[in-house]
Amino acid sequence: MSEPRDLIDRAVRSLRQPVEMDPAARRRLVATLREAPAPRIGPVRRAWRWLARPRPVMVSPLTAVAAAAAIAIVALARPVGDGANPDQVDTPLASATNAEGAAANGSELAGAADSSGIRFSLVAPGASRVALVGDFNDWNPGEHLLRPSVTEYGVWEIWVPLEPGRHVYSFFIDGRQWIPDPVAARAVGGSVSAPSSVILVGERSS
Amino acid sequence: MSNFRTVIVRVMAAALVAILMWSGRAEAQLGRESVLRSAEARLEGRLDPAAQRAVVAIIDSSIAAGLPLELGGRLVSRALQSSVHAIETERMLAEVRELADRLVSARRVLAPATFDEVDAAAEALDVGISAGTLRSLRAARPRGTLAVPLVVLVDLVVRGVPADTAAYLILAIAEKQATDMQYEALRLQVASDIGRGTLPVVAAATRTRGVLGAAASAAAAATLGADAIGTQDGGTTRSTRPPGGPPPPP
Repeated sequence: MSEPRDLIDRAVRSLRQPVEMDPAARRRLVATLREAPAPRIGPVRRAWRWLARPRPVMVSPLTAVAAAAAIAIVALARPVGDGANPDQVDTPLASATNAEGAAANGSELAGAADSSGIRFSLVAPGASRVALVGDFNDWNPGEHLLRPSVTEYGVWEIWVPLEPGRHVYSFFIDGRQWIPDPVAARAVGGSVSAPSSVILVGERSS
Repeated sequence: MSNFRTVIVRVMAAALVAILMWSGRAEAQLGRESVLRSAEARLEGRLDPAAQRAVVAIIDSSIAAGLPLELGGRLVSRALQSSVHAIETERMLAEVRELADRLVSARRVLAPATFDEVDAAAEALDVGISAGTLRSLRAARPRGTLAVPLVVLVDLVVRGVPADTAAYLILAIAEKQATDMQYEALRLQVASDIGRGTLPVVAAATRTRGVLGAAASAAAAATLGADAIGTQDGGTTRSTRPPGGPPPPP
């Protein structure tokens, strides 16, 4: 039982003896290390090392409490999400000409002061191309083309962002027929024989 | 010495006034040039160069005559509308000129007015509504905007109601302090009746009677409410109903 113990003790003593190194070998090692090129570290890696290196930070308890309070205030004050009703995104607030809601609530003329757009629609089952043309697109028949509704057969519709104010417009069907909006107020078109419609979106101030 | 100081002060005051006037004029000039440049850009390629120059000249002279800068675009829009309907140039220019005159007149009649009021009033003048009617409308509705009543008035005339009858009906509604929604409801009802074959003047008169009744009821309710508030403030109760009505609830 004592033999293995003696063996271990001898081994420990032997390992504890300082290792004598040849001075010439030491010089060669140092010289080799000096001649070896320094490892290259890229700026990103250097920046990461700088960022990741732990450092002692000294903060007074008062500062810590103040910082925590500030974070809590910011977190509590910020509404959940972006604060907007997702149902209202891209939803015209003013009128939707030809829409039942607009006809019922009378917002077609009055519009809403904070509206950002209008949904125009027209029932034209036989049409192959319907354009909305008015002062908001400089009476350009190619700018606002209505698209067939996916839910209602024969209904064409388009959503157009409009500035507040009074706007005159018409529908242009298949490149040959001008018709006014059937449910909107009529406008005077001078010598233009085709009647046009008028819509008020909010109101411009003077 | 005192005289010399007075003279210096006066000269400096005069210089200050001159600078302010000059800066105001310079700003107006800048706005005017901006409107004209914008008009040129919008008309570019849509009208022939001569017509384009003529429209811009009309806008320029109208601004000089008192057209608000913001309504210069309305003249461009009318020119483009005529252009897309292939109206001949001379006719188009005449219409732009007439519209400019009406806008300036409407502004003078209704001042102070919003741009939409002026715009709608110019159309009303176009369909034969008199300046006197515009003034009466303003007097009947001193606080609310006239844009909606004017748009409805023009709509009635365009649909076939004689201008003087339409003006009379709209004025009657305005005097009852009708709301924008009531004007709009009137327009929709009249349009619907005409679509079903009713004579425009009959449809307008009939439907106006309904709006007048509703407006009168609302006004009466408002009066009753105000009366009730007044009696409560006074700490007494009294009946505001006509005699012979049902007894008040306990």
